[in-house]
Amino acid sequence: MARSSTENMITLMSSDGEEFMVTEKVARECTTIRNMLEDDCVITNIPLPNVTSDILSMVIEYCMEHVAAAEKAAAETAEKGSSSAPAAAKANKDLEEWDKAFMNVDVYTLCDLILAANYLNVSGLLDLTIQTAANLIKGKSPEQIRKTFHIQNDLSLEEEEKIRSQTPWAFEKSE
Amino acid sequence: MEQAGKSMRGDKDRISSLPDSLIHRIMSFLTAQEAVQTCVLAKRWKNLWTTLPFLDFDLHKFMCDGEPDDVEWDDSESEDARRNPFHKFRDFVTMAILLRDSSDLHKFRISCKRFEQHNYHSLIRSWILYSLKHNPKVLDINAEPVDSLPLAVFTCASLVDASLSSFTSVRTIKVVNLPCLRRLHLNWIILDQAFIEKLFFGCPMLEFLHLENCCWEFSSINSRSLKYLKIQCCCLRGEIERQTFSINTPNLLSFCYRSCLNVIGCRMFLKMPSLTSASIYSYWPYNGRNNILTGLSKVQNLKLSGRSLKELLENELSSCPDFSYVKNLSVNYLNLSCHFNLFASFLNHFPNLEKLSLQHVGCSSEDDVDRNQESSKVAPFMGKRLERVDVKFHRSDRCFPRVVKYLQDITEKSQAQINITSLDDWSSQDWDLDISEHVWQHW
Repeated sequence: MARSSTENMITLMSSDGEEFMVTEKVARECTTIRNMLEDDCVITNIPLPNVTSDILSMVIEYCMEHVAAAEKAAAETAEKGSSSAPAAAKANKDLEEWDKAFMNVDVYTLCDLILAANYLNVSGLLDLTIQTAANLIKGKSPEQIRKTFHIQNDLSLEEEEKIRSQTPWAFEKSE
Repeated sequence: MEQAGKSMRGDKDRISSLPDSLIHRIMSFLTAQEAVQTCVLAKRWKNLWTTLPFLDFDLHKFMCDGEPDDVEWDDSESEDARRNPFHKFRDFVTMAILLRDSSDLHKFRISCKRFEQHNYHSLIRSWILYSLKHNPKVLDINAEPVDSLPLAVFTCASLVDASLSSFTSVRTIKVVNLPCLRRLHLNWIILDQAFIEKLFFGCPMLEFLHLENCCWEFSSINSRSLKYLKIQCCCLRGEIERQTFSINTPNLLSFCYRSCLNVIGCRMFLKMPSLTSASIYSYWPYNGRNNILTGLSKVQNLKLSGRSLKELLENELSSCPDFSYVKNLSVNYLNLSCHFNLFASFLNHFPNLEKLSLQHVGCSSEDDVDRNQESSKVAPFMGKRLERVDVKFHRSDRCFPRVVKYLQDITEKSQAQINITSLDDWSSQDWDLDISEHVWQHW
């Protein structure tokens, strides 16, 4: 705890005015914020007008977990001189499991997380959310994809038929 | 109010309001076919695929119903033949390329193994040529038909990462110009010394080079930029006149060699002063004239394996330097029970060894055991830092008690911990993992 008091704290403010106090290390996981801190090192209060409080709290949760995992791995390496491969593999697996559980969200939140990860430039979270969205599309018929993502089909029956008849080569397999 | 709002929004379409670039990133994980099929989802999606900068054409995934071998088909374009998956794939790729808009590509991947039946190599070349005109950064070509790789790929200046697998000769190539290329994997390519020289001249940023199944006749590799080099299943032919084969790479960090060490009539010289990890898999036969170990004396991690390891050690032990930086040593496929003395002498070249891993160090049958070894006294290991010895063995290996006894004898002084695990529970492929493997995968 003594350590955290010496660490710089940054306040992140969501679009709906909620404030989140995080360590500078956690904030730096967001490349966008890291760049701001590097441009102006005395900044302690950062408004994020594109991110709502519920999404921001999730992004922070993700960053904190990944910072903690990296710190733990670094501490183990320092202690033993070199990290043992099985322990590192297990730590990686644990983090993967955590990521997987973290992605257990509805598709609306998932898309919001994609936008936030892109805006804040958290590459790990962006890769994770994009991959999760892609997995929800893979192997599904157009109708199943619409259902999964609540996409309103605004094409009339004729229009859809027209597209299909113009691109029969694309649908050969699914028939 | 807020609660109600939250449950309501769960049913709302959010993905369609993402910017094109993010939807494209999602589509980058889909095959080209899956990506194109999103055109019927809604108006928003109708033309999204046409600007997609990631194209992944995979014949195998295209025909996920069955292997190409399972399908009966003939060459004619009759109504029946139209249903053949090769023709469908051909039509799909051709149409997708035709109807796509002319925006740049980030990644182009095509995989069409076993596509050789038809005279399709010119068609595949035309698809690849299309991609080359759209400034791709990442190219992943796996095209089996002979000569399906257009040589223009070696002058595609936008390339950063290229994986090229095709049975194609590049000997006639005049110029290589890949100023941004950092990673290159060549598989089944027929090379020569002139090409290798042009390659390093034309790729000043090249850090990762993986040569696999390449037939080549060349005598040296000289590169200042290379950091990771992997040579796998290649047959080498050194320069006959000077009788040397040399690799001179001052900034190389990781070297993995899994090929026959019998560079015909040649000595092999390695100049890799920055090297930290090396993995050598030596195939039989070993010609006894190499000088591999000398070139690796500065590494921290060393892995030695292969059926001709015994010959390698016997020949190079007398000139072998001290590996004073090596902390991790891994030895696979050495019949220890026949060669206790050889191994003991070798091990004493590693004064600062911390961890020793051994796999497949027993013998296949009782006949292999040299009984004279039992009585002879072996030299103890003098290293003071050895902490652990990991040994993996097969339960059926009857030499194992002797190997363990031997290890206990030689490590008596260092009091290292000996861990024994059974190989039978392991996937047999485990030893295949190279030190540098994870670097390649995660790069």
